[in-house]
Amino acid sequence: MNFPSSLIEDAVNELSKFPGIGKKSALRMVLFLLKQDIPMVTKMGESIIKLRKKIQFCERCHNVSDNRVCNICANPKRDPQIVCVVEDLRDVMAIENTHQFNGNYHVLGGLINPIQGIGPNQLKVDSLIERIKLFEIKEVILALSATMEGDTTAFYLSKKITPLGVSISAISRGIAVGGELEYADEITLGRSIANRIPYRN
Amino acid sequence: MHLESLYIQQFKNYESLQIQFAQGLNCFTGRNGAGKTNILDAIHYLSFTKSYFNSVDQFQAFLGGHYFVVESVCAQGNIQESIRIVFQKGIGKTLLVNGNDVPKFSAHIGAIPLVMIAPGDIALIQETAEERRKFIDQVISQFDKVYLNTLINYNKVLDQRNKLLKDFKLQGGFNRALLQTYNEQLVQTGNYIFTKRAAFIEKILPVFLSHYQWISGPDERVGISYESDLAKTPFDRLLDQTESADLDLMRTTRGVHRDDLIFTLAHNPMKKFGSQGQQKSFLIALKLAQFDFLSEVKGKKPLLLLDDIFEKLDQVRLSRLFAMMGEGKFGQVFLTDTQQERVKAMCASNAIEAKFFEIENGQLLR
Ligand SMILES: [Zn+2]
Repeated sequence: MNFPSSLIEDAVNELSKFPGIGKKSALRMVLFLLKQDIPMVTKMGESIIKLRKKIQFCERCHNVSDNRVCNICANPKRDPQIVCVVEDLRDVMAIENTHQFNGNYHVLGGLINPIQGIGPNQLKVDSLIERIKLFEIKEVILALSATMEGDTTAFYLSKKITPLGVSISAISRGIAVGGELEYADEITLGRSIANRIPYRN
Repeated sequence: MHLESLYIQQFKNYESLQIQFAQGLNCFTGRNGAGKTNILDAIHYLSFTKSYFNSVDQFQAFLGGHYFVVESVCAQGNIQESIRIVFQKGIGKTLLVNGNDVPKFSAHIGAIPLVMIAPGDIALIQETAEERRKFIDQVISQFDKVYLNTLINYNKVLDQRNKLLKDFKLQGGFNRALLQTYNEQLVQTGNYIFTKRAAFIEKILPVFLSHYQWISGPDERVGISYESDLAKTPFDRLLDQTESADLDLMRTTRGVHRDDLIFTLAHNPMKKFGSQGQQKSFLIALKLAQFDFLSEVKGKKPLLLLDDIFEKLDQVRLSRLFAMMGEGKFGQVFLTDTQQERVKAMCASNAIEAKFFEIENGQLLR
């Protein structure tokens, strides 16, 4: 694509770095931005910069957070001895929307997938083990996608956790089989957390 | 079950083509290269969402174009179902059943059971074990959804495990717990596949033998046996035994991905000791056994595709096949040949009604 302005070209190149955004869509976004007034675009740009610079990850559960410890971990009304293990932020949001869970989370940051170069060392696995020991956690709930990668990760974690004498449960499946957690509707997801079952592979 | 019609657009050598089928035998005749087999392949697409010959969708488009469409109406009793497959370059393939998008193609496999007899079948005898595994998997997948999903999972686990073995060797950092995680998943899916394959071979074998003898006469002793690493040693122990070899070679050296079917003639390999005629009889008997098996488990007769059989079969085997057709053994049949006259003669002598289509250069002549 040839651009009449190097400013446009730069912006198109940057925006097309988004997943699923090609040069054509990026150009459409650029044309939209050019039609807006300057304060609006400045606000948009600043919020993106602030997001990336200021965001923190909770030092306990690794969920995104405005502080060193997130609102969920810091909430004294929630049970810190029950930990729900999830893949990422989207799962935390999905489960929180059900209002059925009163424990804490542990965000792994992905699922084990050697082909994509993701092993246990790339995920927050060791910190989960340490956390279980440190906070005397009683129950670990595995809420991972019903995919091959989700199963592998659950298998692996159960191997690591079982020797610690913690009870392990899994959200009841068969609801979101083959699907990702975030697509399960709130009622079924809520029910599957309330009716969680002891984990066995 | 039968296909009422076929509509193809920009598919192989057809710009566009619309056909109304007969419920029984449909014959496509014309010169070599006219495009008769391409019609059979379009039907294959409707059943398996892919080509019989070439698995790359892109190469199926007319004159290297950027899309193709294969569409049909399938009737079963009073129920009609439309099936539409669209391929677009850069976008991929979509499958629509009654206008609804079917994102998982595996969910459609088995909806239109199909058996194809084609010259390429000889690869089953001549080529590597992969061809024979593809054959069993394709038959079982047409009636067992769990099998197909388990097979897909096994292959995923296998790929991940192989990558892990490579990482261990090239990057260090051996992790036994993680390897065992993959072992357990491989064992779980592998055992299931092994059991299903073994049961299938056991079930199909007597049917196959009776077909072979009917086609070839009672003397010849043919056999099919299923060979698997899992037959002698339990899979979990096998994986423990081969762990160091696997780590060294950076791949999984044992498992159902190495299974094979052994075709024999008087206990000798069919590939080396069978004559051309015996090999052809063997393949037809195998396909007919597949037809019977699918008919039984699906409760409906599969579509039967007969590609170029007049060229490939001798008179005796051909007459046997047509005699079966005359007795009403098959449902809807699609056949190709270069000479309409000899097909007509064969149909007449077996009292078979057929609909004829003359094909020339990707066009239907009246
Ligand atoms: Zn937290």
